Amino acid sequence: METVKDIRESGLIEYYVLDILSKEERSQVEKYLIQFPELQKDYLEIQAAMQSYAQSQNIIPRKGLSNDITNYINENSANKINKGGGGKSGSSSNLFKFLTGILGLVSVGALWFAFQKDNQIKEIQNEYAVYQSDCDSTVNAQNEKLSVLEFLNNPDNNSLEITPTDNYSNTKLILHSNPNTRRNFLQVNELPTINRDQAFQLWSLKDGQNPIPMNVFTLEGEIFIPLDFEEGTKTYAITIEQAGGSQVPTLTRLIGTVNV
Amino acid sequence: MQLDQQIHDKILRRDQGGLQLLYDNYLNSLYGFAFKVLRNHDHSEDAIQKSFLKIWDNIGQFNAQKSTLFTWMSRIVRNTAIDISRLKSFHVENTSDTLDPLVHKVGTSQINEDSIDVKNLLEHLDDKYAIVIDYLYMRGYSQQQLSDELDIPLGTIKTRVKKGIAILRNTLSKEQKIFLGFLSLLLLTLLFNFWKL
Repeated sequence: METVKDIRESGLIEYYVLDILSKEERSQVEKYLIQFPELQKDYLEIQAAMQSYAQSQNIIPRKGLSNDITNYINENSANKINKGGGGKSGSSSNLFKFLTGILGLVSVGALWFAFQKDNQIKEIQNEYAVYQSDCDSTVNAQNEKLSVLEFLNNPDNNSLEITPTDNYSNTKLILHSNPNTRRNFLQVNELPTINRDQAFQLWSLKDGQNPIPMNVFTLEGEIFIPLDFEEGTKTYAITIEQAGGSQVPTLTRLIGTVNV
Repeated sequence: MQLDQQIHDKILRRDQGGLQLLYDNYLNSLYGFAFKVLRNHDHSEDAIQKSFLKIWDNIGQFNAQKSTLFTWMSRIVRNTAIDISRLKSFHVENTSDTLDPLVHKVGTSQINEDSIDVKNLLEHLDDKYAIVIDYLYMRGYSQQQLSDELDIPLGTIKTRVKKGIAILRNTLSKEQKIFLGFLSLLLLTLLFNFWKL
């Protein structure tokens, strides 16, 4: 995607604000926003539009929730709330300051051990949170693998070999497609090597319509890649595009097609 | 935006006033995100408390060059709510998907910012666009999930997202122009009366 017009028409900035892009697509949009400063206006306007939409969906919570949030932060954050409101000293007398200082020192001494204990507990809690997070990630990864396995064992799947084009004849890919569950998985046996600024992109081809841009992906060791399912697709095609994807396929870099 | 800068600076200084500004200006909108995902006030409150703690602790990571404060905060709330919705305990408690009667309908909630007529904004937005935006933006659905849920082709979802946001942008821009026009007229009238005196 080379021009501001292409980027605007692709809808990438809208998808970026909605937070529905892949990691690669997000970083590509961030590069575009730096490369083409004129897109900043679009970006800000889209954010403002979405903020207004969110305001229209306001839900008024119960009274007292804000107090509960403040207490929750005080109990759970190491960054305690400063109730002083920005440190205005105003009319405090020197004597008052002196007494406050002394009192502060005494308090610090008395509370020192209590803080030590508190910090130890917080450290343990943080460690626990890290382990819990690792555990959740492992469970999620395991569930994803089980989901792939479950899909691949489904007897209703159509497993279709993708026909490579002459320029990419070494490509070996199998598309596992299931119209009942509306899911697709790509089994990667051999894919061409691409540059760092490139990515693979899936296209849906239907009779009498322009190709519909679908997933943009790169390979990070996966053998099975989940892909979107587009109802009514006659043929799926895979091309090599600039990272972030395109709105129109680059036919000279078409690596293969499969009829479904 | 000056307000966002003020909130950011105050929270960075751990000033309670920053929290108060957040509550006054954004709590209802952010609560809307949590409730859209969770459909339950107890869980939404839990999500909001956890989200505000994350905002409080991670305000230093917010980068105004990358997004507005609201965009940043809304992502935190939505992702926290989605995490809660994935917990087993959430599914056990929430077998029904009916909307809570306390939920404010579109355009009837309290509006408090920038003189933008949100009700008018939504009147311009056809339901077919509003639904797509609602599911993707507020509820954190992927385009594929939405395509499956609504039984609409993925290409149509993409088209409706773009069109819907374009309508919102145009309406918002017109609202701002009308507001500025009104302000200019008021200023001119005042100047004219002053000159007559």
